[in-house]
Amino acid sequence: MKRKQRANLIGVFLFVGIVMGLVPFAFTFPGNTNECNQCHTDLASLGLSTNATETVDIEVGVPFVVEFTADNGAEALAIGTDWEDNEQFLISDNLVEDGDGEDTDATEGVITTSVTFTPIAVGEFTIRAWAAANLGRAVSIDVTVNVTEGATTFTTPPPTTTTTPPPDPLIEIWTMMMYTLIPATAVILVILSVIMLRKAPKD
Amino acid sequence: MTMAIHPVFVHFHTGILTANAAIALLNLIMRTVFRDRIRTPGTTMARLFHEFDTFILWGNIIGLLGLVAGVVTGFMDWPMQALIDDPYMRFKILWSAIALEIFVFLVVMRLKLGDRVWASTSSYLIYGILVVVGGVLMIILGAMGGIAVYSDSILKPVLDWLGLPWP
Repeated sequence: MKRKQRANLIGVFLFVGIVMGLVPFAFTFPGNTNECNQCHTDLASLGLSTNATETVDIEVGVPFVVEFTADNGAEALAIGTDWEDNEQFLISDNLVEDGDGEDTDATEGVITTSVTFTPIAVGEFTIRAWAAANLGRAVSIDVTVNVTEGATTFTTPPPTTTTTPPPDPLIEIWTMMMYTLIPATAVILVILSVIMLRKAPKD
Repeated sequence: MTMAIHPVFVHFHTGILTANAAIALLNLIMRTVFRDRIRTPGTTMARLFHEFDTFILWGNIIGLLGLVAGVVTGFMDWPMQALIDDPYMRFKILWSAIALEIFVFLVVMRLKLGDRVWASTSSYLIYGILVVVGGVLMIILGAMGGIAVYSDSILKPVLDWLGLPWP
């Protein structure tokens, strides 16, 4: 094999190798539950309020209801399990979208919902909720809860059995396309480059 | 407050690569229709053709650098799971990677062959058509970015008609 051919071959393999090596970077990090301000940057446009304006005093194991109202174009209200002290409570609904069954206000861009929290530990905790919308808008609100020992011993209920939802078939197709289409394009371009180099007139 | 930096990096290269596609289309037509006049040194057509070729080369180099910056900042600004959950973002990730490959190919081939890239039919068709394909990809990806931010785009009816984004 001539030196020039060898150099070209190394170049081709290097190109395909880099392309193949970059593919895994486009893949998933399951369980990402970042708060909305990790992506949304306009934190002043939406409105979010609650009826729990003062510290809620409650006994462990006793459910209480907090009403949230998000407006000015809000599209979703979320109470992520990992945010602040939210994991210290059983939460009846982690995500309410504008117009869904849990949204009691029919006005578009306004979400009103009642969420039931059941404290599972004693202490002073902060519940955090976020409302979000397009154009990078989001706003958060905190509710302070003081949980004390109850008259009766509270036993944390066993975790509810959750079934993992089936993977979205479109995401599976996309993943397959990422693994096949990108390397296939690299191979096609390498073939086209050989054609162009062969057909080009010599200097 | 975290600031998104992706928007700063996406507009310039989208514009220049779109302009590149238009110029490449023009050069393809000129190369086919006015082949003899382009080959005659000193003619206006030959000079114009050469200027367009230079424009495409520099446009591709600058556009490629901008595209790399856009991809990197895109991954910096948003969590991967949020991107994968959104069909527009999935489409943008896949086709941005393919656009990157195309523009790397175009820049390498043009630098290696010089203006001989326009000499043979098979060579100039591959080069010219891929510049146009790359530019059209950038238009579609730009429109999808617009839809993700503003919920609308002038191209939305076209994308809806094409059934994009998919998958």
